[in-house]
Formats: sequence, C-alpha cells, structure tokens
Amino acid sequence: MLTSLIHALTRATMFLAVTALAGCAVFQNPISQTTAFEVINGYGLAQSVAVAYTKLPFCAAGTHASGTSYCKEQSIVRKLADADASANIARRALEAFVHNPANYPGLTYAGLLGAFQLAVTTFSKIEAQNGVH
Amino acid sequence: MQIQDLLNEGAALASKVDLSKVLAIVSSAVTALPAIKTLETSAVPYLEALEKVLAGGTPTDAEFAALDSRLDTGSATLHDAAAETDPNAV
Repeated sequence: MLTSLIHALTRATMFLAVTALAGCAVFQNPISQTTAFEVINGYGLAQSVAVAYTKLPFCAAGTHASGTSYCKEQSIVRKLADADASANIARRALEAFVHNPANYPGLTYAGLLGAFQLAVTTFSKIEAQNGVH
Repeated sequence: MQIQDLLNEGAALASKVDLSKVLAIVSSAVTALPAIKTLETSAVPYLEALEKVLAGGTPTDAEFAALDSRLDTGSATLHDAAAETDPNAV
C-alpha cells in the first residue's frame, strides 16, 4: 500500500510539473508537431487524474472530500466531463491542423494551440479548485 | 529486543494515539486505493510518451493515434461517470 501511495505521489508531482508546462508553454512559431504532442500528453495526465477521481466512492450526503476522506462529488464529475468535452474539440482541431496545415489556410498554429491551452487551463483549474489531485 | 519488549512498546504507543483517528485514516486510504491504482495505470503511457519527446524523440503517426485512443477512452469514462446518479444526493 505504501509503495502505491509513493508511486502515486511521484506521479502527481510529475503531473503538476507537466500541467504547468501545458498551461504556460511559450508560443513558438512555427509550433511543431512535437510541441502539440507534448501539450496533449500533458492534458492526458490531467485527464487521468479526473478519471481516477470518478473511481472514488460518492461522498456521504452533506460531506465533502478532505485529506483523510477520499470521495467524489457528482457535481464536480459533471464539471470535469463538460470541461473535457471542450478540451477535446480544441484538441482535435489542433491535431488536424498539425497533421495537415494546408487543409486549414485560415487558421494558425498559435491560435489553435492557444485555444487548446485555454481548455487545459480551465480543466486544471476545476481540478485544483475542487481538490481533484 | 525480545518479543515481550516489542509488545510492551506497541501497547505504550497505542495508548498515546487516538485509535479512532488512525482507523479513519487507514479506512480512507484503503477506500482510495482503487483510484490510486487507476491513476498509476492510466498516467504511465502519457509520462512515457512525454519522456520520449522531451529526450528529443519525434512523435510518430502511430503514437499520435495511440494518444488519441487513450484520451477518447478517458473522455468516455468521464462522460459515463457524469451520467451516474449520486445515491447520496439529498
């Protein structure tokens, strides 16, 4: 059990570092497929935390999760699912562009990456504000 | 140290702590274990992919496809969880 907890804490620390990277990456021009891949993987880590949260039991009526009481609240799960749906739209647009930029002459790397990063930041804020980590 | 010494030491320690608090913490940790295992399992592929590109590797189309697949699976799980009904809701 202790080993699992240590591993989880190690992963969580790495997750926080990568989330910061995903939320604060400096724009480059042109932004490469590698950059998109890094940021999308960073989002995957944030999404993993949210998915793990959904595996917790429901909080008892009138109670909230705490440092010693691990449980989920359905209202938070719904917020996470909504934010994830928004992030997916931005993610698909970004990926479509980095694979075939010529197909989207009216769009830019920076605009699409910015939209995805905004979605990731929103998702991460929901996790941070609700103790999902 | 003799076994009796260990038992005595254990009893002395137990008398200094609030066992109900200890039991509550252990109970919560055990409850959280499935979630912790889920996090470990699902986060590893993302960490491995990041380690590769941060080391200078270039992502392939297959790796992008695998990334999409993992994210879509996670999204489906979140979507399904959002549709659940909280039995404790008042």
